[in-house]
Amino acid sequence: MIEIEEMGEKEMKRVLERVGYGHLGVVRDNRPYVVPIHYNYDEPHIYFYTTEGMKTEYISQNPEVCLQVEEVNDSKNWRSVIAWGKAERLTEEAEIEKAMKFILERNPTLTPALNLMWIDTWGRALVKAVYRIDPHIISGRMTLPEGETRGAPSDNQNKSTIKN
Amino acid sequence: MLKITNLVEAEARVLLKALKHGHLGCSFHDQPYVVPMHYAFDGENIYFFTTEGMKTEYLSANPKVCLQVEQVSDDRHWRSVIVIGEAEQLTGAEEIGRAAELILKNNASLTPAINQTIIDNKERNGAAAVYHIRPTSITGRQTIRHS
Repeated sequence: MIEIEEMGEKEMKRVLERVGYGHLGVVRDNRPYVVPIHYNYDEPHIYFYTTEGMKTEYISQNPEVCLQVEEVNDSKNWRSVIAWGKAERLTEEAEIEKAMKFILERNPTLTPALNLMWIDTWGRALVKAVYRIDPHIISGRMTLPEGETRGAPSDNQNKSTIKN
Repeated sequence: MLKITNLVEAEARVLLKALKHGHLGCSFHDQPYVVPMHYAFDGENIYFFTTEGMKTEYLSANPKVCLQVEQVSDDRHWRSVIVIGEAEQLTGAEEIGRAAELILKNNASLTPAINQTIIDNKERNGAAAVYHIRPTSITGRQTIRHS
């Protein structure tokens, strides 16, 4: 059996805190686009930056974004959290500095590369925009370990089961 | 210094074929939705299946999708491929069977679960759906070693 269960709010927040890397969905003219990003979760906000013009174009036209974050051990053992909200571009220097500091702290292995970029004037120019998401919905699903079920079936209305 | 370069399409296709798990983006009334997904690529089309009502609803309203797949060694060594195209639900028993076989071949550990889901789907009529994506563009980016 692979059993998939809806995650509780605390568990979802822990995943968002732990991972720091996800897949951002944006939409322009009904065309979706997905890009991998590093982010920092500072409850309740998610901060991320982009070095790419394409994302800023999409987000300035349509600020609605969807961030998907996952922890995958194997195809039968995973958690996935999805957060929806509007991405707001930070404009104040102090806010941008604080957000970038958060993101760099969260991603220690990225830090040498990005720190180099961030301390250089030209490197700062590469960071096109820093955003904050205030998620209005967070949803999460996870597999249960094989052979384990939680509660009686009547208590699990949210649970979807794939029979094996 | 971390440098990022574009993959040529042939490289992106090789990576797409080698991997089996990606992130499907779709759009419903200008709201994006991203879900993790097992897939198979036969060199022409991408095949995936879903058991979730929400995705089938989104995809029938707007078939435009974006599939992102990645191979990450660490934050400084990764490759990412992005496929743009339209998802179409397969309806013929033969094409569903062929697509299911490809997905199972690429995701061997899922075999029992998917087999049962597809069998259940036939019995329950509509709980799972098998799709293919005809890519209109396949692009990719990768980090290159710093000198």
